[in-house]
Amino acid sequence: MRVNPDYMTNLVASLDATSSTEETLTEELSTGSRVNQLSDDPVAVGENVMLSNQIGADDSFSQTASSTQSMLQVSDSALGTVVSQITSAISLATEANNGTLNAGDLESISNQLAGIRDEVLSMANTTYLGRYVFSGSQGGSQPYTLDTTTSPAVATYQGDSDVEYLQTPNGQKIQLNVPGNQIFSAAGTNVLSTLNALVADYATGTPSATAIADTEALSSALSYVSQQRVAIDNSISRLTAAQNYTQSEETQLKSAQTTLLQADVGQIATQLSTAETQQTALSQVIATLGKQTLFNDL
Amino acid sequence: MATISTAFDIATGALDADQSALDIVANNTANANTPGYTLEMPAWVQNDSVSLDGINFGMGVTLTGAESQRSLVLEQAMQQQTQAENATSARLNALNQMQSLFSGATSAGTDSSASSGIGSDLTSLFDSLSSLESSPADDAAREDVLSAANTLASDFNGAASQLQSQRVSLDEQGASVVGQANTLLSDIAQLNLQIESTSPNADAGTLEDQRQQDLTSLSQLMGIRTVTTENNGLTVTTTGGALLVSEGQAFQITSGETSGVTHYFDSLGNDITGDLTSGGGELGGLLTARDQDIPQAEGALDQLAYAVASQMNTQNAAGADLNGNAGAAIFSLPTGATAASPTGSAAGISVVITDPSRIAAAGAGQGTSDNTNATAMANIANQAIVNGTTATQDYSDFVITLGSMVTEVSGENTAQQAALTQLTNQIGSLSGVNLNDEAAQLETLEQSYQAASKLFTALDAVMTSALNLGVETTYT
Repeated sequence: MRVNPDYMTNLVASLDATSSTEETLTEELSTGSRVNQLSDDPVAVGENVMLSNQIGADDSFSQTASSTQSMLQVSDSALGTVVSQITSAISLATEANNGTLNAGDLESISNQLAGIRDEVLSMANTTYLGRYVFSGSQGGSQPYTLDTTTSPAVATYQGDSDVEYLQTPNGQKIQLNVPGNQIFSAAGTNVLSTLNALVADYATGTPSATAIADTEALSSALSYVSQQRVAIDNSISRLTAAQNYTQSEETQLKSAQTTLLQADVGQIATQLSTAETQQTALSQVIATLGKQTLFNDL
Repeated sequence: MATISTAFDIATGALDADQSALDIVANNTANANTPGYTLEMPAWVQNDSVSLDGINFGMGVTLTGAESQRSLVLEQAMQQQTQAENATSARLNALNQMQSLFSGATSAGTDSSASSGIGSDLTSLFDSLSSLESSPADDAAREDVLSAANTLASDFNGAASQLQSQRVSLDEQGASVVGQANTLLSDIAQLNLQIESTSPNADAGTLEDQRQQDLTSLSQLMGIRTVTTENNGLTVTTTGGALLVSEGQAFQITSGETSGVTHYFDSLGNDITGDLTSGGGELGGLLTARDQDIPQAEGALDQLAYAVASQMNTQNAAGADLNGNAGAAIFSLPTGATAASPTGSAAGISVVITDPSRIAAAGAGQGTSDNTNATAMANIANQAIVNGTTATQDYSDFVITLGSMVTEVSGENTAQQAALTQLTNQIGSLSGVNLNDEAAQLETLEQSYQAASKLFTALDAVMTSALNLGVETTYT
């Protein structure tokens, strides 16, 4: 049987193929990734695009959540201060209403109450990074201004009733704010106007007729403010939960991504050594067969 | 009655034949590594016998010449296979270049600062919008959105322009391939003439070797069909039947520009570009990549770019910016681009707003810390806006399609290479010069020549003996 006398070309082609295998394996080893071109594993690449997208979303939410967390805490501590201020206002008013104090004492209580009102007002105007947290969507403008030219003084709300939400990567919505008019000047439980009324009640040195009713109104306003604070507290704990969840999801996705793309070093090393053996064998075959023809023996 | 001089004639003829056969062996050995050389074998013919008084006497041997060991069937099969292999190989090269543009999709980098392609750009854009939700009035967050949009647009531009420049380079390569093919066509026509005049009825040996070699080279360049005509002539056509060579005449392929790319025409002025694309050879592969693969990738990117830009624009227009004005378009798209024909969107997309305050994060009529519209824009990430799916999923599908196409063509190419190797081996075993065979034949011929010479010496002695009437002397 005749064979192709030009077998050398075939051997050299095999040698080239082995070299190219070695090159691919070396690249996989040096990058640590088994997918370096789309064609290495198209489906894995497609999956990687989706995974990276989700990891990116989780990662960016984790960062956003941290700064949002701070904003909610600022709101929460502002409301905490308001609650304690109102509590002391109530005890001052109760003291004033028991009829044992003289005019001078009453006037001083009125002044103390005005101080408390100013404190509450400044809490209502709390900002976080330049944004007024209690003015609904009007974060750029101060929610409350106080007009002291009238008696009782009048606090005016300049924000709106918008509630903002932050959306988590899973579509969950977390409340970011409580508008000021739901906390400080809600109809029926208007903290600021009640405080203003009390200031006016004792300003003259004799408690006015509405003083007792105003004190009672302040008590109910207190429990209302506490309720609103719960909404913020809820958001903080939900945000923490969401943040923990996205972080653990991110960890899981990253490990999925690693599994998807990572090169199996042991396997590659084995393949590389096989390719190397093959190459050595081929080179020896070429070297041995290369020069031998019958002409040498003539 | 046979005479001694007849025996002399036979011995002389044998010596002549052996010498010619040695020439053939020498020629084979000399051309052992010549590309396209076909092994030649001496054609021995027994001379007609002579019948004298009812007895047949053999009259020796003549060598009628060298016969090329050629199988036209195998050679034609090899030409076809060469065309197919070169087509996929050229296409694979182009596809490999294409896929390297999108290799960012293989990286696991989730760091938004690391540029890893359109997929991560989309992620960054939508992520920057969800960050904007928590601080809608913050300039830095707005700046982030704008810069993510700019990165996305410039990566779309980059990919589109690189695809386009690949297309141009394929176009130029195609033109140079056609130039080479035209030269070969003239060569083949000339060889046709020579073969027809020197060897109309038999294999033309060296000339035929050259013609086959030219056909092999031509097959590497483009898809052809060949038909053998009378007098050993050869007609070459494209796979679609456009005439390229007939007898001694070559019909050159001409080229001209049609809608921005080079188109090719036959001698009658018909556009044979489609014919050449499906035909095979390097040209077939180049044209397939130029006219199918690249436009397909460009089309997919155009669709994606158009969908993202138009959705973002619409949503931004629905909200209010930091100054309370209605949002304007964030991206600009080429005029005339529509969802149905988004051609040029990837190349032409750009970000038109430079002032971060003009991003409409707030819902219409809401204050600056409202984030309704930012949320709505971020939610575009999860909406089916292109090909019935989300932008990221669409990009993922795009890389899967491209990667699979490369894998497919690469597999095809490997199979064709194997088939080509097999054919080359078959042809080699028939037509290749095996030095061992030649050495053996040399040895045989040498002995045969020696035997004929010995015969001559013996006959000489017999003749001398006859001339001296049986007295043993030395004839000088």
